[in-house]
Amino acid sequence: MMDDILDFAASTLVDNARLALWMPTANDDDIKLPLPTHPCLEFLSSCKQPFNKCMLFL
Amino acid sequence: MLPQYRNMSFYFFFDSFRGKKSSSVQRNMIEDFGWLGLEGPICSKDAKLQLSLLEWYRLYVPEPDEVFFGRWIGSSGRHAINKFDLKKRCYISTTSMDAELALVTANIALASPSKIFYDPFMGSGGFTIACAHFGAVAMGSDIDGRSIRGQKNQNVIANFEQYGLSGLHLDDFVADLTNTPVRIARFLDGILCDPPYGVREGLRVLGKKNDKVRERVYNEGKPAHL
Repeated sequence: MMDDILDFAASTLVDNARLALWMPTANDDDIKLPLPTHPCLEFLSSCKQPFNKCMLFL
Repeated sequence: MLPQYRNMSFYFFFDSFRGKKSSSVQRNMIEDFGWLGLEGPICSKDAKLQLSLLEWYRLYVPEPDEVFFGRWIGSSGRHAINKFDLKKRCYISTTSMDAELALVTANIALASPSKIFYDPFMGSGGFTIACAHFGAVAMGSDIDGRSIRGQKNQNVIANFEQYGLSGLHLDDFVADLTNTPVRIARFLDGILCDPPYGVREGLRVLGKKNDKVRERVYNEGKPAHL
């Protein structure tokens, strides 16, 4: 699913547009999830929200 | 006091961070500034000269660490957090994102006028509202049309009307991002996502379980589905 989001973003965003994505930092088993990456998208920043157990990923 | 300010209408603001002062104490502090020699009228609204007294406290101490005094030139956009508070919104759902987080998300994605923003997991439209607040044209979709349509006067359209942002509401549609009907062309200036958190564990998608294409049925030479 994450790959679908990134693929969709890479093919519909114009140059220098941004994708802001909320994702959990760990799944139910408390295994830390890796940051999503995509060859056409550059990772700008992330912002952890500990009370929500989610991360805002830009 | 610089001569050009002497006769301007003025007003004093008091603000504090991590601490409080009662309004009588605030008043006394403001009156201590009588030596400024301001002779203009006092106007609580639209004064030409707005002076701000700001106190900055460390945690749990009764007196501020620093006090700033200066002329107010401009505000930040933080008042929006109050304006878009979920408690005041006409239509929310269990998955509605906190107003401050939605605004921050739209802000760091650089929502601004003459941009088109899209939220493929819109739910009750929190992100699209936040984008419209910053001036972007916003559209959204969701796999569940019910959350967009809502009920008679409680739906995404009503939310946009509540804040007077209907002009920036492009429209919403029902779709599954993994099988999106959106034309694959580069036209979006930003995408805001709050996907369902089962992203790693498999989730609902639209479409047939059985991927085989069924044969078209023809009625008198025309395809039956048309």
